[in-house]
Amino acid sequence: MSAGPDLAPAVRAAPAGTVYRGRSGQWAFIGHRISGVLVFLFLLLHIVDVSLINIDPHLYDEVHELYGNVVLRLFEVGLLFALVFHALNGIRIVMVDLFPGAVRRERRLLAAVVFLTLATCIPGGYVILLPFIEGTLTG
Amino acid sequence: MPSEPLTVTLRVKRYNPEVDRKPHWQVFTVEGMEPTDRVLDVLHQAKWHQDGTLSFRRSCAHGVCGSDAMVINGANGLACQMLLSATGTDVTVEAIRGLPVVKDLVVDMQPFFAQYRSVLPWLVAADGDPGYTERRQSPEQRARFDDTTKCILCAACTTSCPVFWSNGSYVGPAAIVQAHRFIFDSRDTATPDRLEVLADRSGVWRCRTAFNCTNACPRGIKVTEAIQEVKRTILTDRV
Amino acid sequence: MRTTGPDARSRRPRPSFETWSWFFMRVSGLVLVFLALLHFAITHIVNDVVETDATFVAERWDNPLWRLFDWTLLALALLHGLNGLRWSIDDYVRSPARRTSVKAVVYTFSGVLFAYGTFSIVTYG
Repeated sequence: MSAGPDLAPAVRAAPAGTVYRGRSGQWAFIGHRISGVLVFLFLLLHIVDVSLINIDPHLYDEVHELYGNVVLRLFEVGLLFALVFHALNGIRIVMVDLFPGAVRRERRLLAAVVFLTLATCIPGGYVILLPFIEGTLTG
Repeated sequence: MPSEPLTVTLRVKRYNPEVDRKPHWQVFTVEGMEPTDRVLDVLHQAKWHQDGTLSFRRSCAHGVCGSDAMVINGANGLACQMLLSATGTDVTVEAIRGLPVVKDLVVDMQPFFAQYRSVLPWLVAADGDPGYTERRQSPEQRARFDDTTKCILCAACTTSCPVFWSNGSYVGPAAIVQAHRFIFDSRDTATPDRLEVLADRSGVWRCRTAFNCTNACPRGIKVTEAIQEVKRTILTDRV
Repeated sequence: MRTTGPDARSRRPRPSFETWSWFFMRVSGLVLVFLALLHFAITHIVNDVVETDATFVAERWDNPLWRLFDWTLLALALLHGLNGLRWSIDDYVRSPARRTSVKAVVYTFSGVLFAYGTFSIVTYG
């Protein structure tokens, strides 16, 4: 609780826009959008880098090697999280669309989505970062 | 045991578009309130005894007319239903989002009602039915749309919807709830017309199931479930 | 009991583009769960990313079924993503003129990349 201000009404400068205090569904919606856009942007990039193989396989290898460095491995871990969350939450959305029972249990379904995302992406991220963790990273 | 009187710190987002360039917060300290008082009572005390220029709508003050929906401590609700025992003594109120602010907590409801009208929210009887006799239905048929008859058009659901905030062209949960009330009414015959409106660009497919509407409804209507029923009806083409 | 209406309501509503676009998102999304996650698992978990070099791709694309797999993934992911982006643009870009131009850029860019990606998969080797 904040300390009581003066009895006379005080005019204060407006803070930046307030955030609507929606429950988990609102954040699932925002997370779904953001993860979707991120995966889509990566897809566009991925089409370009894979297509290099048609121009020159050596050029492909040179560019492709970049994916092995630490920064891009961390990026791949992020991609894994975005992809798995988007996939699992997408299944939740389809269930909510099809089954009235899922509408009533959407918060529990979202908890399952978050749990499964963490349960698969933390080990998955570990595997991706393994060469870095073991110090065998080259390039 | 009588409870001690509460001192409420009320923050109101004030905005008069004719004078102010942008909204600002005004803080009122309102003394002598009870835990069973409502946010509306605090607003009354502030307006009556501290600043008469504070503007908000209210009519029945008992959760029926739907005039005083506002953002209370970050989420939509009716000021006349929200007890201080639930909000605590720090209360922040803002106008509902996505509609133009007329002054302070008063918004222009015209866009909201235009969307409401777009779904034909009235009973369309069969051709040649002059309406001289009762249009009977079974208790089961009546129960099919009972939940959505409870809507009071307060706009708490529509103005809690993230899609509606970003794009006011979405018809919004309230209009879909109202359409649901007639789509599943066995006496009504305009279902195809309503479904055609709702299957269009600004209709039900805009719903992203964020569930803010269901959480915001002061009447406890299962709004998302109603929207999903309309979606499935359009998809499967049967009622 | 007499009730009115049920006969009149059998008139079919006009199928709308938005209905199909919504339906497509569900179907393609469910297929993509398998395609995309399998693809990611093969290229990042089962094999380390540095092993998926040009030789790896060449061996894989020797099998036309893998080409089909990759092309289906490409097509569905692009369409699914593009439609999702269209929905987001409809939500957040409010000026009709700017909305049209943003969509034109996004569609053109994605269309060119789809053609390029398809060309790469089909003509390789």
